[in-house]
Amino acid sequence: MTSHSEPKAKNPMVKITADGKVIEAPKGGNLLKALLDNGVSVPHYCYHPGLSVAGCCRMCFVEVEGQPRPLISCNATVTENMVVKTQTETVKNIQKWNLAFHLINHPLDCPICDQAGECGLQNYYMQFGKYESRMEEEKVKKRKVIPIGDHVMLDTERCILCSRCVRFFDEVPKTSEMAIFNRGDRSEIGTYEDKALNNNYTLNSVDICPVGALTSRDFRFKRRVWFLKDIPSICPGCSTGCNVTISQDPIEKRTYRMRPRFNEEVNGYWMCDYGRMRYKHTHRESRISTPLIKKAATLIPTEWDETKHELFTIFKTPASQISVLITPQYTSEDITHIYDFFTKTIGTQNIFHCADSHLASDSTVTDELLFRRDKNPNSQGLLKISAHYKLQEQNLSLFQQKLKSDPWTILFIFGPHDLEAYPEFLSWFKENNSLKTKIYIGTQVKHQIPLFDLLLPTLTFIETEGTFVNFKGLSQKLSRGVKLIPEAKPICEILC
Amino acid sequence: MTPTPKIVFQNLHIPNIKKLAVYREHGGYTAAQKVLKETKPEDIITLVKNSGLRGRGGAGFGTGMKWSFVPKDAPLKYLLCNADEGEPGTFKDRILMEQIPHSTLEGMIIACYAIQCPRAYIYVRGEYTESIEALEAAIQECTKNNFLGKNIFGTPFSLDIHVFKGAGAYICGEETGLVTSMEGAKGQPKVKPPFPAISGFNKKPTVINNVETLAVLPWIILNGADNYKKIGTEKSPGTKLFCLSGPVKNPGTYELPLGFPLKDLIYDIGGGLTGNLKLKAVIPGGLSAPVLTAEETMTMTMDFESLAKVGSMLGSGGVIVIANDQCMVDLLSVITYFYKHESCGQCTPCREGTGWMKKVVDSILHQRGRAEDIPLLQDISTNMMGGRTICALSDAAAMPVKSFVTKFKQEFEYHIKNKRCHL
Amino acid sequence: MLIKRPPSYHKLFFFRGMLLGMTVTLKHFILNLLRIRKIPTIQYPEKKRERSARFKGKHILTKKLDGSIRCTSCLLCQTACPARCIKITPSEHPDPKVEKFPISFQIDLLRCVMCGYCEEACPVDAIRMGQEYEWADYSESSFIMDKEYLSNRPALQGGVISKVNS
Repeated sequence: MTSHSEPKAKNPMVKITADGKVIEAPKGGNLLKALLDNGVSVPHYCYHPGLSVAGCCRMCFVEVEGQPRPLISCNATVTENMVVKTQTETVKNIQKWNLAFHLINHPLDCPICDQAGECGLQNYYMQFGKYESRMEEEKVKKRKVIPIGDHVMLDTERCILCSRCVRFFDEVPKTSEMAIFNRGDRSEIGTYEDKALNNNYTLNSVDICPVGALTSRDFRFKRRVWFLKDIPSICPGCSTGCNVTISQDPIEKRTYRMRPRFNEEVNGYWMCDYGRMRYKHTHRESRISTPLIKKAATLIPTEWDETKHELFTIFKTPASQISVLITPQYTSEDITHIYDFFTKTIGTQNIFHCADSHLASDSTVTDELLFRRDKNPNSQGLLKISAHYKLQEQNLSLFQQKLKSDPWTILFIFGPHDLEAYPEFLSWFKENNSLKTKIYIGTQVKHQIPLFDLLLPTLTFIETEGTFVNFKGLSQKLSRGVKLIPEAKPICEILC
Repeated sequence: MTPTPKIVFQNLHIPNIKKLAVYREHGGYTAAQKVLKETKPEDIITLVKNSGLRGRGGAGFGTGMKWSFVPKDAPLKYLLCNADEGEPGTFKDRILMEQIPHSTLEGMIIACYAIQCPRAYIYVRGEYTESIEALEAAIQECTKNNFLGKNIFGTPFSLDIHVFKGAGAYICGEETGLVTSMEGAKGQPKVKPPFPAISGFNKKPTVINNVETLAVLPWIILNGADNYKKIGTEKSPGTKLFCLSGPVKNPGTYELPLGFPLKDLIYDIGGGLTGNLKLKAVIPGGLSAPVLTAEETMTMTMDFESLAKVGSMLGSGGVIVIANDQCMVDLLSVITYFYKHESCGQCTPCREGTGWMKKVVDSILHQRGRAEDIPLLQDISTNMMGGRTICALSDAAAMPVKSFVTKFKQEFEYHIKNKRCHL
Repeated sequence: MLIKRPPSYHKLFFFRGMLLGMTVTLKHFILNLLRIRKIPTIQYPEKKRERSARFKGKHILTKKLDGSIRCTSCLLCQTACPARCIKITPSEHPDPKVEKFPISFQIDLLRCVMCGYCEEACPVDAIRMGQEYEWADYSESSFIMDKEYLSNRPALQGGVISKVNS
């Protein structure tokens, strides 16, 4: 996925010495990458492992024995028995002064900058700078608060002109929408005539921006980053299964953003904007917050104990009258539990899945980067598990046929968390049929309608631990975050 | 004073030397023909290496050495002639191109043959309209007479030369800046390595030589490396074009052997300072070169080594004379403005440092100076120098500041203390 | 064993000891009554002690010169608060020069431990601990101070201007 072809396994590993520590690195590879991979901290702004080398921030200076003067490690290659020093007085002085140069025209509006807390300038200042500013002159004023596109807010004054965003749009989505205009200390990043960024990968520029020049409009002013806790997870937006980090506030019990997590096999360093917005359906206001039962054509909140009674009576009906429909938005563990419960405990074989076998393994991307047509995260997992129970043939079209013909009275629906995947989901059940009781297990408040007889709130991908299987058949683990709805229960507790 | 040998200026005063026929009458293109018909490319590189010819653009890198870095087996290579003469105080290439464009073209044919490249460009700065016209006319004439184009002089060697007009950015005179500008991108230097000799214009091996360097080549071919070495000093052989400017009686471009005393250049050739002015300082090699005081000037000889010894440099050979009626703070303000304006804005120390220095110098000039400003200027300039940026513009911007503040400290102190100029 | 007791008429003279003790009280009583020396006691509700400038009383939100609230809603006070009594909701300001401002700012006085960390953390002198300390009330909800109350309550007499006005 990386546009920048880094010499990999082909290159033999050689030993280099960094600050007295012997480390192994691929010969001919990038020196800075080798140092960072081995835990040697070298400050840097413009270097990003997923992009080409620009060498313009001038922060990553190191001293290499045999070289007359310090050199930037991002543009140096690893050679055998190289001796690298990152902590010499010369290097420290360069870092300190470069940081001073970076900061003289920086507006220092940290109080209102969303990047504060994860800002490269702040971090390196605390690490390497810590000096009194000698800049007494007027700072260069540039333009602020320019929305470029639906997701990105630009502040040219905070920019340190590392050109990461410019190179990102040049090299990854290849749209070349951003550029550095003007020159010298009048240089500004931006889009031509402030045109909106128009591609599905714009928010990556916010992630790679080391300062607050590009901030997310979605996350803007929502929460300071130090309140957030990061949870490694998998994006539920499509069958690619991009590795993500979810940021939640454990005290407020709210999810604030999703950002890509490096995985060379799946998504590299990037993810799409569509996927990033998938956390929104986990918000409290879009969730079913309590079990609901239909009484006299309206839904009324009820207690879990009462629903247990209700379910107990439902399970007493003959097994052949019970049917189940599963959407591929649950973890493999949950799906296994559903199959296991209904085949073994209840004894029904009427378990249908909504996964499209063609779409699920479709490896073509719609935007030539990451996004795939199947908007379900676990179609492959669902297909595999259904095959295990020899029910893989029972797909959605068969379900719709049988719904009209078969004398089912009970239907369990494991509804989608993300409505984008099945926009016509509700219409499947609106037709007249023999069903008497429709039990909906899901999360989305939009489905909280009297079409269903019993609604049971369950957990979204953020709140559960489990596995998603992506289009390639790669199983990836989700970690459990904070439970956002106190009343919601995991599938294994509902079906027991 | 002994008459100095003329190499690039040998035909300068012949009328109509711009015309191919006149140029040929005076021995033009014999060197190119000789080379193409009789010499192997490697032998030319060896010859130029032996002559000790150093680049005349400013850095003074060995020309033969530069050529030898080009991979021999590359299918496509380029020669770029750097005629983006942006260094303030320098106007030598312009004279060469306007007056004797054919000498540059002949030098390019020789250089292209030496590195075996089929295509060359002359990057002329856009303001030099006369140079562009002269070069284009000369190229046209040459192409008509099969001096350029396919199978030059009936040999299997082919060469096309094109003129490329720059848009007037100082930074495009830097090798990689010139390359990016020619590629159609924003003219700004690229990180090295890879050096242009390996991956330059269009990612192909590229040699970039100054106009003057190329114009010397025919003479070296005809007269041999040993004769060339006899001129000038041991480590800096040959002649150099010096552009004398400032309040002197005879400003202009002079061809002199390297190692020529600076005092003689100013007082004999330049005819001394105008009026009753006294010499205060000299910038010996274009604006970027650290300034010399009047005392240093008296003993200085103009070659790469002697100037390097006192911490200055020969650079492009633009000798700027500063008289005692000039306020150094005011002058430095102009200099810092130039570099602030011309910094490409890529590397942080240069982008921010040039602007910062300009502001500090201006505050001293406009009676807002503080005592801390002098050490501050020294610190900023020190920390912008020594390979801290991609290209040498940062060093070029810092060196004048550092030398001015060090050598003319009393003027800066006077400004800060008395809130006015000493003049 | 026979214990020899003093004669019973001695009991009549216990007043002597009592009066002896009372002279101390009497001395103070007379001295205070005649205001011969300074009394540290203050007649509290009528008279109030002067507080030091560092006194940590009820919070104040300062204002800019134009009268709008100084707070940029950086949430540093909320971060520093050990009692978690501050709740700020930042929002986008229509003026792009301001960018961020608190659309709501609440302090729960019942939770507040009057540590003054918020004041210390504030980069723009937007929150201060004031001088008021009498805030008895009847309901818990009245102890949650909102933005308007914090910046414009009558006791502030039109509000306090921040020292940081850029």
